[in-house]
Amino acid sequence: MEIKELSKQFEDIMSASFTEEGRFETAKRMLNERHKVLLVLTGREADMNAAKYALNLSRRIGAGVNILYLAKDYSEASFLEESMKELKAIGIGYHIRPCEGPIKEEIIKFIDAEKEAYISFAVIDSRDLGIRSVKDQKMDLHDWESLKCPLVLVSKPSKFLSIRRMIMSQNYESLKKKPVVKMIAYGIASVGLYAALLLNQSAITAVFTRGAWYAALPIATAFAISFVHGGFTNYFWSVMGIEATKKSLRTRVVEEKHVYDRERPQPRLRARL
Amino acid sequence: MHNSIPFEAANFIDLNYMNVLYLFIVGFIGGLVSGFIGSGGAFVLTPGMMSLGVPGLVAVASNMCHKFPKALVGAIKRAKYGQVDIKLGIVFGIFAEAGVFYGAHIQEKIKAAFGDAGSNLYVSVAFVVILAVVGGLVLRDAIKTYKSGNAGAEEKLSSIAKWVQSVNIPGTMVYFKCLKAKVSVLFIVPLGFATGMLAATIAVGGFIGVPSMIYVLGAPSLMGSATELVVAFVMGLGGSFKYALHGLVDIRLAGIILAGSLFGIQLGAMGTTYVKPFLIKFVMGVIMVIVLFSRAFMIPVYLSQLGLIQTLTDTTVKILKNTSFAIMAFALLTGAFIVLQAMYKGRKEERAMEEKEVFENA
Repeated sequence: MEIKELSKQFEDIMSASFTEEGRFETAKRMLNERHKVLLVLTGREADMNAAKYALNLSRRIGAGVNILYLAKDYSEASFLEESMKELKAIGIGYHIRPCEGPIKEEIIKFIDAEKEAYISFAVIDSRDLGIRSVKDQKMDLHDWESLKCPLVLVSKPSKFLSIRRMIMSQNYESLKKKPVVKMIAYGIASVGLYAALLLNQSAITAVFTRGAWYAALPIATAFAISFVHGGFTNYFWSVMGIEATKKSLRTRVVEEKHVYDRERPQPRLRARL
Repeated sequence: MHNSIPFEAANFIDLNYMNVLYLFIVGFIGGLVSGFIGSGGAFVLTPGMMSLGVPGLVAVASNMCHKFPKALVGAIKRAKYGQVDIKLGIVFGIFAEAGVFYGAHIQEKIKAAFGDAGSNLYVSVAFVVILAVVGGLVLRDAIKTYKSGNAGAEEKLSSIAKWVQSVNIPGTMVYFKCLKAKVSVLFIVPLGFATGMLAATIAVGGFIGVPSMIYVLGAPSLMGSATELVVAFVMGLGGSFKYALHGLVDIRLAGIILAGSLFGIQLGAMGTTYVKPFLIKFVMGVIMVIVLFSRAFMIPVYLSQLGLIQTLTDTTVKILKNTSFAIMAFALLTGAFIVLQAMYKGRKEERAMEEKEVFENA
């Protein structure tokens, strides 16, 4: 990815951060904080999710930001230095290193060398490390044991990784247990009901069509199907992950109290003693 | 009533795998549309069953018997989203029930006077006139809302609804939560009655019920279409019982259609939470207008049977009948397609928003 593009994207994110917090406050905080969040950029991925995450994290824990740019093509470093001067002015330190070995080794080496920098977290886009699935992430874990600080892997929203992120943000509602057992129970009942109906169809038809009081039988059967099979279809879609919008469940139409029949206070004469 | 109904139980068809699959699929699509717009599906199911060799009255009875449990499940689902006004549904449904009885009575009289072709012609003309007027209005309104760019804004009351809500007839005023106003029951009587009559004639009362709740009483589209499910339940229950008394309900057919339609209705009901209100009107308008053409194709057939126009050849009649049925199926599929597409889009947008929220909070 072009370095120019990367620095432009980063500037956009920064300016968004300024508008939220105020330029002066951001600069003040970044300069004064002893603890830093280390944002590792490699220029390999255009995605700026790691940068956004690092800035949000720094604001939340009240830390400054340091950027480690691992350049694969060192010739572009001069351009990057130029474009990141502004960051220096607001207190974001940056370090540009040529990336000679594997990225993880470079990060570990950098954090070891910069003991004085008080790095609380290292943040990197997981794809920069070649991690594209949860499985990759697990395999990769033991290599990081020598790292002196927690490493946060930020990934582009994907089905699996977003679940991990939801756990991080304690959004447990999204992970609520799906009603698999209920679906199976209702499913079995539904199959049983249909099997009974279709396997004995001639006997059932003969009784159900007698008319008069027997008319209650098809009606009762229809109710039974609506309860059993209706329950099954309801849980079936839930298990499939198809639900109504959360908004619809949150914002119920609340019945407004109508005031037509309210008694009006009547003025009364008060006798004075 | 219906003392003249013949005892047709002996004519119940044999079911094979293909028939079962066909009814299941048509049931699913019909259920999907019903869950979304409050009614529909029945107009394809009845002729669909008849094409399998089910006698007309058994098809109508079995369709009715699948309708009320389906409407019940749909109404319960949509009540969870706060879209159902049970009181309005029951009041409307009771008058609709009266309309069903009266509509069936008229049908019988026409049949006695002019025979099957006369009765069919009456049904088709009712179809064409009502669908053209109401369907045209609903579709025009939906397109107007869409073009105005205010699709997301709260729906405005029509001028008729404003007037209806302003009329005060002492002793008849009832408060309905979906209208957020008191309305005289006397206005609901003719609307319910017309809905029932249409249901008895073309099997889909909702084509009058939903637009009248929206445009005449002033209910929001979401609540109008959801409340129609309660109306359909009340009407369907009464109608099914009436047919069951004569032994006309084939519970196997009703059960198989229900197997599919209960999947569909859940999906359609959920779909309403993803869309803007005008889309409900749009789907309803589109279906009504397409169905209108389907019935228009049948009018020459009945006219020729009555001897009012030149007699058509058997091949022409067959072509017209098949075209009519194909257009009807197309109407239902179009409705189902719009619902599914809107739901897919809505879900995608919601997921993207969620991802964003989670990310920003992290």
